[in-house]
Amino acid sequence: MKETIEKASLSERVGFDYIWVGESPTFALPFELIAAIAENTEKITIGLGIISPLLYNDIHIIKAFQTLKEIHGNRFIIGLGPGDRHHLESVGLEQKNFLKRIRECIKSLKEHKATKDMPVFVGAAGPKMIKLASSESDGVLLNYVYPTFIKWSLKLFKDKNYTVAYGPSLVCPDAKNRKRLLMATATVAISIREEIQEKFGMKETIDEIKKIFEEGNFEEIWKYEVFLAEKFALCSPVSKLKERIKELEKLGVDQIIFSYPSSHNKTSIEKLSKTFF
Amino acid sequence: MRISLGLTTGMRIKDGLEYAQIAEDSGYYRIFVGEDVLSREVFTYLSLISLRTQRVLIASGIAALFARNVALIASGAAGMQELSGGRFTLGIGIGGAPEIEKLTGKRPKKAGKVLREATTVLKKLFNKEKVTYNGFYVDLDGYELEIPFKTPPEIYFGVRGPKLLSIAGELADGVIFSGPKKYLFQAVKVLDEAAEKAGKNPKEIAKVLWNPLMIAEKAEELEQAKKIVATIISTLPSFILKYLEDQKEQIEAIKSVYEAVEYGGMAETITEASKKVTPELLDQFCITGSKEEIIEAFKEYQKEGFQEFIIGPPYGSEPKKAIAAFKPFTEA
Repeated sequence: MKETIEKASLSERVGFDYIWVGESPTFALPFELIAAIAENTEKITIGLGIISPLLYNDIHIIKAFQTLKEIHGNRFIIGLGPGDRHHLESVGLEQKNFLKRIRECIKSLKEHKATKDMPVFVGAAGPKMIKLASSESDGVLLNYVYPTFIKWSLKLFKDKNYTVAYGPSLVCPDAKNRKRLLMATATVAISIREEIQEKFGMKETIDEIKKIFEEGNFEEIWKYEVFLAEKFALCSPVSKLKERIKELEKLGVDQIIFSYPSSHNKTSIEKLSKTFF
Repeated sequence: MRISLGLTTGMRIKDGLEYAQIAEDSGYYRIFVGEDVLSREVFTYLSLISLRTQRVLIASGIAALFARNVALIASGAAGMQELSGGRFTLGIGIGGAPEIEKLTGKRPKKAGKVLREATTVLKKLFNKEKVTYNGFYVDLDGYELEIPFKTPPEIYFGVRGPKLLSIAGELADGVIFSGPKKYLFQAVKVLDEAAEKAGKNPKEIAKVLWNPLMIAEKAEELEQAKKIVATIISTLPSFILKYLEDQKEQIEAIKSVYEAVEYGGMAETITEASKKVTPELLDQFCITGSKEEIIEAFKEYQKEGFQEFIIGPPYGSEPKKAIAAFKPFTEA
């Protein structure tokens, strides 16, 4: 946590506008980490991306942000999503009826006096969730950075909405973090719904990657590096990275989240800041 | 002697932080944050307290098990232990039934089973084990914490009935008590017997008292203490009040004042009910009086095994002054 706080503080210093905190039931509660980041930064907006209303009661989400807001002001974004299926199953929950629960949770957050003025974003990857997020929340957190996927997602929007593209990232070359990037992209790829894999002709390749995970034969994953980096990461040298971001901007993306592994080491954070700020 | 501060999530966090800093500066041993289930989120509250203090120990007192999945209790506690640098103790309990019902739509039931399952599993998780457990309250499948805390947080119970106290004797590292003196001393016996039966040394189970505790040098301060006692009596379960058979008439008189209350008349009700609080009742529920009298009272409780005393809320009309006033006790 100490390291994360240092990286958050560095991110604010070098000019980033937002810090997004991920959630997993195996990590510290996101509210604890957000409290620590808020305490060690001054004005950067802190997003929780994402929290699952299948695991958290609406009241807990509301009351956590009420508590944070009382001390640090209104500089938070609440990101909702169904949550990772395997994580939910590990704590005795099924990933079902999540569209209904997310709708209910947005309603609770928007009706409660403590959170009604706080932006609520929704993390989305599948068509139903993209439609819900675009029409019922304040912003859509797309779990994609590949232009083709973004274009497809934007076509599904019911209403124009603030759009965030979120994905693994790395300023290349970075031999030290190459494997980390590869594993992060593979994790994203295998979590994509089958219908989307099929739509984009990736099912066969992703099935092969899944098999590698099942068998634990991780050295094999290098064979898929080009496929994974191209489709699931922002991974380029500085000059090319700028072009990719411009391309996403042109498509209608309002915010990019540079996720793991670049967000997890200070050198990458500094490299990114030199590229963009 | 250990003097600790009591906060609840019903208090504004700005006040909580201010009181916590005074407590730390005054040498308090620990800060307990009680969860008002429908108020602020307890682990968020605790995080902020932890971030603004350096030395004082921190505890939930209690976090309600029925309010959340056991994984969130585990990750909340382990996160607090990491964030606070090992200063955290996890206090758990059932939580107020009406509030839990409002939050979850379900009335808490099988409290003993829930406490036993939760504690058994939390201990394993704090020992960094991967847990699969399919019970009444706990349902985990290959779940483990990925939080780099160094030492496992201790687990205290905030419980009252004999059945739950027996489970505490068997499983808990400490118990947070509250209630009339006659009940408390009996409850400690139940706890100690259960500990012995489980092969534990009862002295190693921390006994913490969270009853009203205030220095009252003037008559009006004593009136304040009586008001607090009247309010407590109005909410206590009947099995605890049975310990005060000799005060039955006065207790019924206090309860009847509350039962007759009309909306909006609470302040008047409390004042009216407080007039019926006898010196005996005050002594049963509250440690109050001059500094010398409080020291004598502490000795009486210490003889029964209590090592730690929690102050407030409420703290009287001047909370900051009241909290700082206990500095001499923390140095004793």
